Amino acid sequence: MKMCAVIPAYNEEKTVGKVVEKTRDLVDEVIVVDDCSTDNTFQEAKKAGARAVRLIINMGAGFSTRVGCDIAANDGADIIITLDADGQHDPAEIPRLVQVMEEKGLDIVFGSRPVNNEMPLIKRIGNTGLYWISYLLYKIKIKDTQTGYHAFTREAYEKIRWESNRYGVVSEIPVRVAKNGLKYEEVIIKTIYTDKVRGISVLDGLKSGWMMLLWRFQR
Amino acid sequence: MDDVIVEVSEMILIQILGVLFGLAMLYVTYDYCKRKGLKLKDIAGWVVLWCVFILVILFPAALLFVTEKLNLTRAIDLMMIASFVVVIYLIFDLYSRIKKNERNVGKMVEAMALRDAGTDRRT
Repeated sequence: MKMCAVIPAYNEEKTVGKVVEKTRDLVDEVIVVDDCSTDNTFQEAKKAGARAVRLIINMGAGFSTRVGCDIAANDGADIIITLDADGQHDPAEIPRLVQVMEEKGLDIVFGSRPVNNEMPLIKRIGNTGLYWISYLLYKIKIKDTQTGYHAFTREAYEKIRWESNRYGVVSEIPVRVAKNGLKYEEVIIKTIYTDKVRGISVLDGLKSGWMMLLWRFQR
Repeated sequence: MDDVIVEVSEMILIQILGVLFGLAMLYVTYDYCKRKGLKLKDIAGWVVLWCVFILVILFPAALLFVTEKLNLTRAIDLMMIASFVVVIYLIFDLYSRIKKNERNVGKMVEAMALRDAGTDRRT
């Protein structure tokens, strides 16, 4: 069974190498998609042993992740794991995500950040709002819909292959999971919050909520 | 009598400003066309728009038959509504063009990335 980790990265030269190093022994291949960074992200990823691909223009996290997953799927990966390059997702959680997926015969596992006091207040409010939107519109119960940490089978990827090019991807995945009736579960993961962790802004969160509403009626 | 003179002079001032604005926009359109190497047909719509704008400013009475039918009191109200509609249409048009371009650029970037990775798109 082939496992591939897909790491989208944009200007993450300081963290991407460490993330790749921690990930490479846990999977068969680490694919880093450098979203046209202006720093040495590409070189650092390659130096750390990843299969690095560089986009010629900046296209966004959703796009980079999709390209990485396409490469993984084309190369016959049975399980694809997506995680962030900024170091907020601990690669050591990968075996647990895969184990839960295999034991329960799931199509996808969400690595959810615990919604507690450790999570910044604004993210907590946003996550709670998006949880209720996704539950009311799609009957999907994921506490942290905005996580970028997933493990899914290749067959599941073909069903959830998203169209969002930017951060909307994290909202589109649960929507597609619900619409395709895929078996899912969330696993609470250890999350490292640092000042440098960027991620989803308030505006992105509002856009996600709006898009969830549109997808309910469009697709 | 004085009130009427003030009203007429105010109207003429607005008309002069309107015509100057219209002429300035015609020049900007011409200059843009010249610098970007566009052809007349590419900007014909804008030339017509600004010419109509100047004519309406000069002869607002020409729109009276429309304003009366729409229960509008002034020609300027009609122009404001028409401008709003045009702006909304232009935003929609630009939005759909940007989305289309974004999709095309995305396909190109994706194809290049997959080619560099030595794999072809299967899904």
